[in-house]
This record gives sequence, structure tokens and C-alpha cells, in this order.
Amino acid sequence: MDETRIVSGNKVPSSLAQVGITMKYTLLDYIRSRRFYIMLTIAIVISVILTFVVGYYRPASFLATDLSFYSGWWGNIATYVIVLSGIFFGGDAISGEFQNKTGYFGIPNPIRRSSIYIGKWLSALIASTIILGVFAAITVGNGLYYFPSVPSEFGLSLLFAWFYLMAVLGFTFFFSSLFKSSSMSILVTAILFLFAFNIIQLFVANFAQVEPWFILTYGAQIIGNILKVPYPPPTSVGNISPGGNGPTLTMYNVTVPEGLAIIGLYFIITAALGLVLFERKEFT
Amino acid sequence: MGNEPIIEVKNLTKTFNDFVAVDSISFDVRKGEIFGLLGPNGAGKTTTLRMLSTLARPTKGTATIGGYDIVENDTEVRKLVGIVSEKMIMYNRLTARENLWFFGSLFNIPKKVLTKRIDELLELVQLTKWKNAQVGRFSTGMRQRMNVIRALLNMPRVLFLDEPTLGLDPQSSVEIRDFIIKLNQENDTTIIITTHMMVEADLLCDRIGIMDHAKIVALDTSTNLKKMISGADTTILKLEIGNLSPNIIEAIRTCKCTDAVSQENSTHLRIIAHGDEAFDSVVDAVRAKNGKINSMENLQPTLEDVFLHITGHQVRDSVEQKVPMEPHGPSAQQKRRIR
Repeated sequence: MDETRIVSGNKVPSSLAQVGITMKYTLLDYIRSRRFYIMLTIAIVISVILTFVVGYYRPASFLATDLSFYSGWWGNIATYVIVLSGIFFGGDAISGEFQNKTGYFGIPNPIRRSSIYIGKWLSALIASTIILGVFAAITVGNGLYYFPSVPSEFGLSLLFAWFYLMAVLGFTFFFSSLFKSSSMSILVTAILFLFAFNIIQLFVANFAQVEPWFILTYGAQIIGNILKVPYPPPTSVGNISPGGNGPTLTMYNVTVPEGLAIIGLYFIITAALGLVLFERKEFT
Repeated sequence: MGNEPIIEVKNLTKTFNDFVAVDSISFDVRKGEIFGLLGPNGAGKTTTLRMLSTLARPTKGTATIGGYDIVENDTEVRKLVGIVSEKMIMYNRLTARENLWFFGSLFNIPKKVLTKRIDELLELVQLTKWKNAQVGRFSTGMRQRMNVIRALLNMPRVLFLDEPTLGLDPQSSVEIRDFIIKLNQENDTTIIITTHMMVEADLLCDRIGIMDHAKIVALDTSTNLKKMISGADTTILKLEIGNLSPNIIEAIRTCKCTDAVSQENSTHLRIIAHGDEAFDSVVDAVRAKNGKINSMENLQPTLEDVFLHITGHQVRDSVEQKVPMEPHGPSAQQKRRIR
């Protein structure tokens, strides 16, 4: 028995190694979870429905060009897959440690809380990337059936989607650190991403006539916009009534630099705030 | 067991808004000692352990483990301690072996040694054949055994056990207790155990701190604690009264000689009384209310009696009294005695 005490000698692995250990086992836990398979099923079901609709109805909006295909398929759906993955894997990543008491397992060890936080965040990123990867692979598979090659813009869109996923996970981890109840953190994150952000964006842009640069979902428009040729202008004015005599609506389109800045800032700020909250939280 | 203290606690306090969970407690624990914190639910035992294991920060006061301050040097403290809590949950979708690897990898234990250690510990608690099963499928007893061996992987110098046998069947409880004694004797591991089970504290602990309403109200060896009430002046009586009623209990309580009364069941009372006339006074009080005494025993004191003597109530009574209703301190303790 003394052998362990002697060899460990009160030393602990580096913070980076601890991040790796936490990531490895949390990822194993995620991949064996029911929610991982539910999320995978959702991504596959969406893909199957799209495959059927596009194959059967052959909509011109999808099949006009390769870019219109990827814009219609990937550009419209990817953000929802990302948000759902973020909620599924990040929504209770930290709050679950308090609610399920698994935090008692890790926290009293000589491990930095930041190592736990980053390790869990990375495992959520990998699990979500697998889901997004499956959806992207089915998209490309269908795309190659109709068109001979994959446009380079899709590669960029994929990259932007991954950045967006990082920001969404930063955000979900922040809310997960804020609440001790898993259901509360999941609910708040879901409401924000699926309803609140879109509604705020709509009102701010159309009624206050202000560019909604402070909304994460606005920044995420670059995922779909990059697949449009030409890239949509920063602002455009549309008329609500068919005759053109009614009230007008101002449409804002985020540029790529703006979108990347919004996504980057959201990621940095929310991830840092989440970490600060987690560091200060007590197990009582 | 040496005299050198490995844990020193001074005026440790924890408050949650206005609620005082731990109220300025001080004690020390010697190297190699099994030290018990005994008290009802809500007495502050678990909060004390959480502060010492760095899970919660003290509001006031200090504590050191192995010379390291629990707030200033929390990482160093964590290297020295292991904690087993009844509330601890492992990762259900990881196997027993994976959970142990996860924990063990956080220490600087070489893979070979860790593999050997995990196998030894699984064997010790008879979980070897379940090593590749997911922990989510384990029974409460199996999980608790896992919890204990998980905390032992790094051979901590100080082991905190928070109600280690709570919810376990008698056989598993005995196994865990035997294991705790073995660990202490073979490895000189200092063990701090919280329990509300008097027998467990009596069996395991070298010294016991009795906690009630956030304070340590007595601290000594089990023998010395019992001596507190086994002096010539104190009598512990167990009465069986066939027609036991609230009137009879009240009559006994109001006797001048009575220190504390607890009702064990519908016919039995346990009474701590003092003075030469104690026996006669209690019998007279029962008869005055037409009580029919079926049997009467003069008992040796137990830790339950010590607790009753000091606090004026039984351990189980206190479950419903989590929030203190009156100020603490020696004078308040005297007032709380049921007379």
C-alpha cells in the first residue's frame, strides 16, 4: 500500500495533462449517453427528410447551382444542429456536477477547476463536432449526387459553423455555471437560442432600425450567407405589401469580419465568465 | 497514533445568509487517529467536513491539514486528503475500472502501480468481477464500496468519511467498518468520520466530538464521555410503563432530579437523573399519575445517554430541529435540558 504513497510523492500531473484526463473520461461519458444517440438520431432524421424532399420534389431553389444546394441544405439547418448539440452537451455540463453530485468526485482532488472546466468544454466540443460532422458528411454525400464537386465556400461555411459551435458551447457553459439546476440551465439556454435571440434580432432590426450586432445568432448568419453569390449587402430595404406602397423593413446582413468578431467575442466573454463563476462556486 | 496534530481547527465558522451551519468550532486531530464527529442531521458535521476537504470555504476561522491552510493552500491540502461522502456520485456510464482510472490519473501514480492498486482495491471490496460493468448498474452498497476505494487510490494521509455506512445493509456496514479499522492500523491513515450512529462512533473512534446545533458540545474519548454521566450522582433508568401517557412523562420531567427523558417506544422511557433520591422520586412521580411500572433497569451509560445528557434531546429528535431556535453556549445548553 505504501508504494502508491511513495511513488506519487504528493506530485500531480500538469494542468494540461489534467485537462486531457478530464476530457477523455467526460467524452466517454458523453458518447455512452442516451442524449448523444438522440442528437445523432435528430441529425440523421433531418438529413433523411431533406434527402427525400430534395430527391422527390427536386426544388429549383436547391438544385439551381451547387451553392444554392449547400445554402438551402446546410445554410438553413446547420445552426439548429449546432444549437441543439450545444444545449445537449453543454446545457448541464457544469450544473450537472452540482445537481448530480458528480462534482464531489472531481473537485476535492488536487486538480484546478479550470482544468475540469476546459476538459469538459473540450469533450462537449468533440461530441458536438461528431454530430455536426455526421450532418456535414450526409450533406456532402447528397451534394455530390447532384453536383460533381464541393464548392470551396462550403469549406468556409463549415469552418464558420465550427467557430459558432465553440461560441454556443461557451454560452451554454456560462449558463451551466450560473445555475445549480440542470433543467434550469438547459431551459434558459434553449429559450435564448431557439426563441429569444431571434425575436430580439427581429425587433431590433425592423422596429428600432438598429443593426443587431450584439446578438450571437446574428453573427451566425455568416454560415449561410457565405454560400450566397453575391454575398448579401450589409443593408437592404424591403416592402411588406405586394404593391410596394406599404411600410418598409430594413434587413441587416452581417459581414464575414463582423460575424467572426461577434462569434469570437461571445466565445471569449461567456467562456471566461463561466469559468469565473465555476471557480467561485461552493459545494454545500 | 502519535500526539502530533495533523489537523488543527480554530474557530471555524460557516454561515449561509443568517443560518449558522458551523459555529466557531475548534479541535485538533492527531496523526493516525480515528476521530469521530457525532451528531444529528443538521448539526454541522458534513459542512465541517466539506470545509476541511476544501469543497466549501469557511466564513470565519482557520484550519490546517498537515500544516497547510485549507483556504490559502487548498491544492496542497487536496494532495493529502481523500473524501468519501454518501452523496458522492460516480460517473454512471463509466465502468468501475474507468471511474477509478479517472480518479487515479489525477495523481502522479505510474500506470503500473495504479493498475496494480486498482486491482488490489477492487479485490479487497469484492468488486473484481464487476470491474468492467457501468457503475450506474451497481447497488447502493456496491457504489459505497467503490466510493471508499476511490478515495484510497492515492493513499491519502487523511481520509474524511461522511456517513460511510448510511443506507447500507448490516453486512456491508460491517465490511466497511472493518476496512476502516484495517486502513487505520496498517497505513497509519488519519480518519475523520461523521456519523449519527452512536454504535458506529463507539466502535471506531479514538476520540469523539459531539456536535449539536453547529457547535462541538463535548470532545473526548468514548470512555471519558461516558464517565461524564456515570459518576456516583447520576442514574440512568429504563422504565417500562404499561399505561404510559403524556401526563406521566411530564410528571417525570418535572421531577427535580430529572436531567433528561427520552421515549424509546410506546411503553419504554429512558431517564437520566441525579441525586440519591432519583430512583424514588421517579417511581413516586409515575405512581402519582397512576402509572403501572412493569419493569425498571439501572443501565450503563451509552453515547446516546451522553448526547441526551449534554443536549437534552436524543439524536433522532434533532432531525426536525435543523435551525437553531435559541442562542448557543453553555448556559443555553443548560436551558435546553428537558426538565
